[in-house]
Amino acid sequence: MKTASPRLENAIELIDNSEIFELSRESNPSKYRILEYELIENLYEYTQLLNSDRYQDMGLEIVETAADCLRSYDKNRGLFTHYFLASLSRRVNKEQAIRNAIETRGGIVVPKKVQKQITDIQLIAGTLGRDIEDEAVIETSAKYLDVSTARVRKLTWLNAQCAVVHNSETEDAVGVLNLISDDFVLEDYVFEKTSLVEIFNAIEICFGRCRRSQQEVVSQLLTLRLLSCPQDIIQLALNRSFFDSTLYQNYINTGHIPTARDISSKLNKDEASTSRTFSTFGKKLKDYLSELH
Amino acid sequence: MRKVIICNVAMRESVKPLVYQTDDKSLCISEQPVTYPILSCLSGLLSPDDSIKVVLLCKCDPNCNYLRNVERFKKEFTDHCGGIVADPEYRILDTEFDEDKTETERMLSKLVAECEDGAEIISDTTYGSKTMPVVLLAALSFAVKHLACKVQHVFYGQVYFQNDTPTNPRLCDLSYLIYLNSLLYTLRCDSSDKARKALDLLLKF
Repeated sequence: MKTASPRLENAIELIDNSEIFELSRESNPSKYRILEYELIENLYEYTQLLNSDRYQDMGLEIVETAADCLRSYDKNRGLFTHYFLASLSRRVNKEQAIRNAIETRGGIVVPKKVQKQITDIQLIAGTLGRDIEDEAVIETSAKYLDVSTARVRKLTWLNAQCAVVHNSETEDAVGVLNLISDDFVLEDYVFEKTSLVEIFNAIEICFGRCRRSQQEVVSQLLTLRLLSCPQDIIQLALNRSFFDSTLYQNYINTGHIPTARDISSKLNKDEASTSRTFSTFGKKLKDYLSELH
Repeated sequence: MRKVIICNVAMRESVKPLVYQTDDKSLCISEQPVTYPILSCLSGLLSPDDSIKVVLLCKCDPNCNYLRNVERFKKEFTDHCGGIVADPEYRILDTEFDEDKTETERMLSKLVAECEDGAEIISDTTYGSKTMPVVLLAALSFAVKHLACKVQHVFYGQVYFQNDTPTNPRLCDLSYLIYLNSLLYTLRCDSSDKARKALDLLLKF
C-alpha cells in the first residue's frame, strides 16, 4: 500500500506528537525511557507500513538510527518522521549495499576492510550510473579510497571472481530501481541540510535547466519515487513542474505503480539510459544544494 | 483520568515500614516510613480529579496474614493519599496459596479484567509470591498492547538484609521492561547477532 493509510497516518501522528519531544531525560528518567521505547516501536511500525520489503529485518538499523536522531533532533527544523526517514534511508542504503555485495559473492567472506572498499566502489558506480568496471568508476573510486587504480581493478576483479550469476528478469528491474534509490536526493538531504520546501524549490530549478527529453525521464522517475513517500510530502509536490500528474492520477485511479522498466519502455528508451539521466540529474541537484549550503 | 493502582500484598506477619530513596527526581518521596513502597510517592502521582481504583493482589497464606496486610495498606493509603483521594474503589483479588497452572491463569485473568481500557496504571510488585511479578508483567503487557492502557510505574522496593534487618531501602521502577519487551517482540533482525546488538543498545537508553 503506497498511499497514506489510516494506520500510517496514525503511526505518523503518534510519532510526531510524542510527549518525548517536550520532556528531558533528567527531569523524568522513567517516563523518558518508556517514551523512547514506545517511539521506536512506532517508528518500526511506521517503516513497515511505508515499505515492508525495504525495511523488513532492519530492526538493528532502525534502533541505531532512532537513537542517533533522538540525540540530534531539533524540533524547530521539521517533523521527526521526516528527519528520521532521511537518516534511515542512508543507513539502509548502506546496509543493503553490504547485503547485496555479500549475496553476489555467494556467501564467500572477505576481510572487513576489503568488503568496505568493494561496497564503496559499488556505491560510487551506482551514483555515477555506470558499470563497476567502468573507467570513470575506477578513477573516482581510486581517489575516494586513496588507493591506486590498479588496486581498485583488483578489488573489482575479486568481486567478479566470487560473483554468483543470477539470471532473473526481476533482478534486472530491481537493479535499476536500486540505482535510482541509492542516489535519491529527497531522502538524503531532507531536513539534514535544508527543508523540504527548499528541496522542492531546488528540484524545480534544476528541472527547469534540463532538456525536454531529460525532463520526461526525470519527471516520471521522481514521481515514481515520490509515490512511496508519506502523503504530506506528495501533497507538497503536487503542483510542482517536475511532478507527473498523469502518472500520479493513473496510480490513484488504478493503484498501478509502474516500474522503471515500464517508464523506459513507454519513453522508447533503454533502462540504462533513463537510469543515467536520473543519476545525472541527482548529481546536478546535489551540486546545486552544495552551492546553497 | 481513570487510574488503577495495583499492589501485591505481603504474606509475612510483620513487615517493617521504611523510608525509601530514589534517583528519579520526578518522584516526590515521603519522609514518613511506609510498608508498601508505592505509598512513599503515590500522593504525588494522583490528583483530586482522578477516579481511583485500588486492586490488591493477595495470596491466601495459611496464617491469613494477607488479611491484616490488606487493612494495613488501606490505613497507609488513607494516611498518605487521603487528602487527595478520600474514598477509592477497592478490589481484593485473592488466589489460593498453592501455585498451580489453574491458579496462575486465574490470577492473570482477574488482573486483566481489572485493567480498564485507556486507564493509567501504577503498580507495586515488592511483596507476594514469586509468581506474582511474572503474572503482573504479563497482565500489564497485555493491557498496554491491547487495552490502550499506560503503565506509569511498576515499583519494586529493594532492601538489603543485614542480620534480618532491612537496610538501604531503594525504590526501583521496572515499568520500562514492559515497553522494552513489547519493542523486542516487534523488531525483526536478519541475524541473532544483530538482535543482541539491538538489545544492548536499547538497554543503554
